[in-house]
Amino acid sequence: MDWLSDEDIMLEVKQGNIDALSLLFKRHHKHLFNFFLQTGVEYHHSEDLTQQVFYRILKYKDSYREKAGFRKWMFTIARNIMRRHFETRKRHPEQELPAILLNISERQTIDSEEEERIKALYKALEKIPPQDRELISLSRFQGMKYEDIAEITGTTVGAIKVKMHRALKKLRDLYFEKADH
Amino acid sequence: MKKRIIDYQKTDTMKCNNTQINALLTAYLDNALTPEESKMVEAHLNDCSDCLDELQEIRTLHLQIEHTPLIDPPTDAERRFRQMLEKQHKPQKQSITITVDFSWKKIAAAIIIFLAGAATVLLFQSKTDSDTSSIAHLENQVSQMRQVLMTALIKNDSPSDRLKAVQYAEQISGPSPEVTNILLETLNHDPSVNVRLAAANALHQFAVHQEVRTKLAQSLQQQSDPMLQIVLIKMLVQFHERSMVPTLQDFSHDEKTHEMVKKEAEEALTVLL
Repeated sequence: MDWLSDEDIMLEVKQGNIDALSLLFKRHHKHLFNFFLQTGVEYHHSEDLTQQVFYRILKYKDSYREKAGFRKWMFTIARNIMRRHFETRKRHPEQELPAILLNISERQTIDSEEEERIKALYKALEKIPPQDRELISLSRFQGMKYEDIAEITGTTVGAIKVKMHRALKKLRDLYFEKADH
Repeated sequence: MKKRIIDYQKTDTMKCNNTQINALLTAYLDNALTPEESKMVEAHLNDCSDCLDELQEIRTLHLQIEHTPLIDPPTDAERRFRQMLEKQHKPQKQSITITVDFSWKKIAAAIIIFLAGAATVLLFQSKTDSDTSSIAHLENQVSQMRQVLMTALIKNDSPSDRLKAVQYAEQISGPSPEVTNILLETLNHDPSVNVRLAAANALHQFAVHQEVRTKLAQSLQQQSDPMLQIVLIKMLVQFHERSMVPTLQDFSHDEKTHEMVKKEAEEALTVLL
């Protein structure tokens, strides 16, 4: 079933073949996990929330609309769950990003120059407001289109164009200033 | 020491004053502009070297991000997911064993009912076409009778009569707008919670129609019984009915909302696009 689109697989799940959801999990859980990390959720909670998103997709499979993009729906759920997470834990999303993002060499083999660069990028990401991190994560790291991001965040495409530019500008200013050292 | 850039908008290394066009540069690189906007940006780029430089900077950052690997999730993530999936399978298996566990008397009764049913099917199958059309006619008449009975019963004082009326409504084949309206009326105004619940259930099959869903969402707003609220939310979320979003938000913020309803509303909100 690997050649099927996300939407076809989700329809299959909706019709009762719930095992097919494992294909969608395989395809997308890494992106979801990184979305949570990049928006400031700690490592283990990011894993928990990833599972929660898929649990909710399963529980509400009947409400999946046939023509709606699966990834758009998935990230809408993820974003709502993430917001709820910050609300109930009274932890501010402005706080620092999880340590894993800044200590990549602990988990992955990577040359030191590359590590410094990535560290600088995440440090810059850490300093910009949470809403901007969210937009950058969705657009640049998870590859979502402007139309989808507009729907996920409940705004218009026109607004997203400008917001995205401003968010990335903040990131650029911080990042390139650091790299200049 | 290097001066930190605190106000990003004002203290800018790029000095283009046309902020409106400048704000579109990222979207321009992402091919997300309308043809008119693209033309505007391109015309501007012809005489603005600041924006041209900025475009290059945006491109560089994009490339850098593209070459940033994603973090690997914990290795047991997939195993945990599969465990969750398996748990979802189990309840169904249990319900199967329950049906098998029936007493012998019940099994015997089931066999008799099955045989009787099979016999009826065989009998009907041996009939000619004219017979089947007369059966259809008969069904139609029964349906009409149910509707008459229902409209009469629904006005009774006794809740059990009104319950019966709702049940009739459920069985009417190809129900008229009249029936749906009576059910909606009952759902909104019947003094008995049980009758209202039955009406909600009967309306489930009509919820494929948008008008009915809109009315159900309106009804959710005025229901005060937690059970009914939950039933309606569950029903509407199944059809991805967005018009109930404001009501759900009210439920989730209102301290007087029942805990269960709050949970149901908040979950529903997370899955509605």
